[in-house]
Amino acid sequence: MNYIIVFILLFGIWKIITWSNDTGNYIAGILVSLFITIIYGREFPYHPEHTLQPRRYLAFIKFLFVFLYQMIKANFIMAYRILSPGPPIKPGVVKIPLHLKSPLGRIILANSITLAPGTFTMDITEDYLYVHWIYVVTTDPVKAEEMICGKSQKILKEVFE
Amino acid sequence: MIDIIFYIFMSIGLCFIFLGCLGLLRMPDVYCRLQASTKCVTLGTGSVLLATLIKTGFSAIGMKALVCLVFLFLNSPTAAHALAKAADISGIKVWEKPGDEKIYPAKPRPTVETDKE
Repeated sequence: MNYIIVFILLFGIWKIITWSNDTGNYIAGILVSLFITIIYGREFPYHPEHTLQPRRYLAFIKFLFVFLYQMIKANFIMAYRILSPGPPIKPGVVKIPLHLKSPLGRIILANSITLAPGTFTMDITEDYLYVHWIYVVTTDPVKAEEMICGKSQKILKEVFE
Repeated sequence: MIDIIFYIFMSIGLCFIFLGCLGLLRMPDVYCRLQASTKCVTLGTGSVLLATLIKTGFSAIGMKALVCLVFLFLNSPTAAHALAKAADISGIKVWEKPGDEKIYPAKPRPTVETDKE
């Protein structure tokens, strides 16, 4: 199961990158994908049974829309902060609780916080994220979590757990 | 029509890359600079790659641009996170506006013990 998922993933990326229909191209792709699959196939998907559940993909698409909206908003807010005189900032570090356990989910959450409005992941420990906030509104962990990543953390919990 | 969309996305991308560079100059400390440059430059580069995809359609070049887009969104925040953590470990404090109340980090951060002889 693990091996099949990794092989399909690698071969798909190979086809997308090369994007041609030669026979030689197919043979080279299959050989290279098989080689990498044999080496790394055992380790990669931590929960292979999750890849067959369609609701996770639906939740992930929902997450993508939330993320895109937040990112575009973040860019306009950042443009405003850069262009106004004497940048209107009040930076500080807050800590927020982290409920996700899956490593891939944690990476995606940390990256989406970095691209969300005014926040930036600095450090990650077992239960907490340390977030640099460019305009600190509250230092209370629970309120800060609600304001920074409440929605995306809930959706990612649906996707990965 | 495709040309017009291509030019629109390209100009948006270049505007945001310019803003990112401007933010790099205007912000007071390393963390704020990283924030400005990461956010704006990621969207700007993504927009340029999207314009390439629209211009060339689903050809070899366009698909490469799409793959670059995905890897850019995965890698750019990770690189910024690595820079911020390195700055934090080497002991750079968060800048505070003079006169504001101080906002301390929620925990005293572990510092790396360096060998001093």
